[in-house]
Amino acid sequence: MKWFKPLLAVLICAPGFALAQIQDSVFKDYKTFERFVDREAKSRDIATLLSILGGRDELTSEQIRNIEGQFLALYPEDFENVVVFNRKDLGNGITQEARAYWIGLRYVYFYFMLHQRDDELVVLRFSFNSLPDKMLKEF
Amino acid sequence: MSNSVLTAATFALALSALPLSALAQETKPPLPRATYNEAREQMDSLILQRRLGDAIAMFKALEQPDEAERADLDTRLRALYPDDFTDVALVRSEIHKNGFRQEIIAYWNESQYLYVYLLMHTVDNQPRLLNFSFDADFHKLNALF
Repeated sequence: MKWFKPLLAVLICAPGFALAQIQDSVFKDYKTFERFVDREAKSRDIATLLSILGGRDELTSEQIRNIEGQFLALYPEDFENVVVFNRKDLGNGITQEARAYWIGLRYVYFYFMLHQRDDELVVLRFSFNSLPDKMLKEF
Repeated sequence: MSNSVLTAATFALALSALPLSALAQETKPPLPRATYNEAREQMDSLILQRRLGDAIAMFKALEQPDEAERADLDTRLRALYPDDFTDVALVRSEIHKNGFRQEIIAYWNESQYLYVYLLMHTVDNQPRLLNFSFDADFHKLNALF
């Protein structure tokens, strides 16, 4: 049946391969990371999210603009709410986390794999999707 | 087990972002305890009668199928499942954080099974349906966990 909305799925791995630099996706601590992600996600600043969370290495600025355009078409309003709906501690400072942002009945889902080092937090992997099934399977 | 068990593997349906709000009485405000259990009860009763279109119409949705699409869905379901279902059971359930849960519910009769997948988010005691999918193949839905 074809009436459900098209999916939007974006996956970013950071730092990725040898040439990538991780400094883009490093935060002072979890609170700083959370504040940044919630602010940019709620205001739908997808270009900033993609650039800071490693997309700069993987996507051209045109691709980033395209993804943001699709996102804004699918989500015409800023999000009002956020919750973490899944989190798993993998040990040694590595965690997986899934966040839902919504306004009214419109939801988007963000997935992060995070590494808490001695004095900084690294985002190892970042993705978002208009359905959460794929990211729930990662847990 | 009967060897006449049929699987209609071609039948699958996915709906996204179907918020489940006031259920039965559209003219009345939502019951203060329009809980998951009440929603389940009504949905089960409709699906047992193979009234999938009506089960979907229970939900408010961003992109709700229209009447013709719902009728078409029932026609297709009834072609694959000639008899009403007699039994229902929760097969798999996983509670996530902050009101999110995933479930698979089985409906069956003597010869056939239908599986329904739900992803729900409860906000202010109101269950919303964020993803909804049907299949005759349990493993396709099980793979969503």
